[in-house]
Amino acid sequence: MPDSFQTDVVIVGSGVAGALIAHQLASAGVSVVVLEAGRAVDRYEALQTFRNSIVKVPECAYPRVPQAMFPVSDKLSDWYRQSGPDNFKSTYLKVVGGTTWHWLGTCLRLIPSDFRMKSLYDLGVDWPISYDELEPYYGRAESAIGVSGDSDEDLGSPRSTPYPMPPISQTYLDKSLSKALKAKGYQVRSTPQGRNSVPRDARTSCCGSSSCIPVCPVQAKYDATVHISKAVAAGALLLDQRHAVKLEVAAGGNIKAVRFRRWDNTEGVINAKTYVLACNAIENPRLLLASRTAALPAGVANRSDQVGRNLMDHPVQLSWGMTAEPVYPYRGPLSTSGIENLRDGAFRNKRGAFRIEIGNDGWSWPAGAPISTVEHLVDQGLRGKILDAAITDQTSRHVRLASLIEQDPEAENRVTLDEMEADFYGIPLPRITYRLSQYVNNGLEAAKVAHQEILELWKTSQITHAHTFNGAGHIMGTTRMGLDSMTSVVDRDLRSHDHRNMFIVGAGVFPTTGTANPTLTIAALSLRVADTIQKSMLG
Amino acid sequence: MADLTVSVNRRALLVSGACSAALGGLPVAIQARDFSLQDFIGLSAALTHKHVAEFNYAAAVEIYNVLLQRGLAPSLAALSVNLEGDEKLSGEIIKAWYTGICQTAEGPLVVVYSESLVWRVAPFLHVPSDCGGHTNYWSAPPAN
Repeated sequence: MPDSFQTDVVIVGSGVAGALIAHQLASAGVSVVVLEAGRAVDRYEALQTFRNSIVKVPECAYPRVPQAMFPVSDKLSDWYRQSGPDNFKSTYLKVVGGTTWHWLGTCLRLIPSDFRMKSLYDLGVDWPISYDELEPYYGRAESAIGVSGDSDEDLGSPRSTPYPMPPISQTYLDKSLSKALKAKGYQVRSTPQGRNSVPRDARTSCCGSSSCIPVCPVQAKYDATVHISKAVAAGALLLDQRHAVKLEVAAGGNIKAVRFRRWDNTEGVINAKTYVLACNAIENPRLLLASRTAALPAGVANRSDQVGRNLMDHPVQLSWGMTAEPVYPYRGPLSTSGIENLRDGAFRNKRGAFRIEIGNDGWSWPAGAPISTVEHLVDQGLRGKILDAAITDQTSRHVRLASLIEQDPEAENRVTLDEMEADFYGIPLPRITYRLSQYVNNGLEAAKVAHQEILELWKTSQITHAHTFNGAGHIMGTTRMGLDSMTSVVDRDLRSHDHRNMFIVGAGVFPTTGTANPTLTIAALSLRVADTIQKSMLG
Repeated sequence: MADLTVSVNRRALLVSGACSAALGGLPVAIQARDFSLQDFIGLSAALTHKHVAEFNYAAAVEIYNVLLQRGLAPSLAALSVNLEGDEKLSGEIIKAWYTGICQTAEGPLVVVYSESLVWRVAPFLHVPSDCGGHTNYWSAPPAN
């Protein structure tokens, strides 16, 4: 393989952001190289690995190698170096297709007020773009990903186009909850999701494997390999098993090269007219900071000292209980409905808003059920038919709620480079400083109160609230967008303020989090970037 | 995970031999050194109140070997003549069959997944990662 490549556009990272941009540009005739640290995933092998895993965390289907390390939920300290006071708990993958391999598939849009938090609630900052500007791209993103949704329910986000597919049906469990909450102010609504409700785009419809996280067995759930494959078919070059290790800056300020290392530690370089960083909100700032030189001691794109700052997530409040009647969880997608009418209000100047994801996976997330249920019942001395009946009875009544709390941006919540330890290539490990603010803690408390009320209305027993927050897997901030080059890393077009031939994409550019799962917004912003690059190259 | 392929002849032989033990109890005290795989399947059937034919052969081999490697043959033999004599061990064997997870000297090990009893005893459950049915089947309560 050659050691150097010349191309119009190099994209670092093959997740949903990189894949969509690569596909659009390659289809338009632009020469594109996609650089990916990890390797391609064999779906069958991933399924087998998942089945053989004792601890079925989201990353369990994807074995790590030293050349493409990433954090895993049950061993965060393998990769993250944390300074506290709270632990950052969200993770990502390094494989072709990125973390979409184990995303849930939720495709909510942000709501208009999410873009104006400073103006409306004197909190954080406003986005430099409006909902209205992004709206057409949301529609395109829904079409590209393939979103199933109820076009009659805008969930607070006005729509100009219908969803490309009818909604995924709500579960029997969702309908039970909806009935229990009738006239109580909690609206249970079908969740728009990147999961085929009908065959589309050469992919089958969902067969309810109940393993969306970590892997869909039939690719009914979208993952970014869909667009990586299309990009390659359109002429893009995918270079996997090559880890970007350094960005080089020319005297004039433009990026002139990205250097990479292969898994055998040999070096290579890519020179391009345009550079797109599409890793994630940990690896993008890590690469920028690790590219520091004597001329740029704070790292690349970091004149503002904002790279790595404002790390955010949607800290999760989990609650669970047991309904009086069977509702039959553990069947179908892991969530098909949510409560979305709690995402905005005057309270947002004091506490984080939240959406409530209605789990369809029983007590799997909080308690490792149904395996833990069996163990508990056996320990109680149940045997034979009595044991079997108890397993059936209890698991059929397991319910779980997860509220995703809006997190406010704080400059001291940040990713930096560890001073002592480095990875296989000598790049310093990510060091994370993270603290939940009072704003977030107030949101967690409010969610707990809402969960208690909802579970009581559902006539649920054994109500339990998690004592500590969980990560949502929504890594945001760290390369925020803004109009002011001194307080943001990229401009409203996601172009680096400091290096005009480099774009940074992904949830790292979000100035604030809102409450929507971020993937659809990542996709919409990426398609907007693709238009910008395409226009600049092809007119 | 164990290979799920089972020799029909071997399995038939195993089942026919173990059936009498499962259905009729274990009338003969089994010496530790003689506690065979066949005896183990019979013991498993007796502890779980299942028929020997319901057990995955390859998984039985794995669980049996793990228990023997831990030096538990005498305990298994003793348990087989007094099913209520060692609740900890009997619970461990039952859990292994229901969950597919066996405790080895090195830690827990998945010995069987799809054929774990938990997915079969609750009629509405299905094996995660296997398709559960047609699209939207989850919107109605299970038929059985």
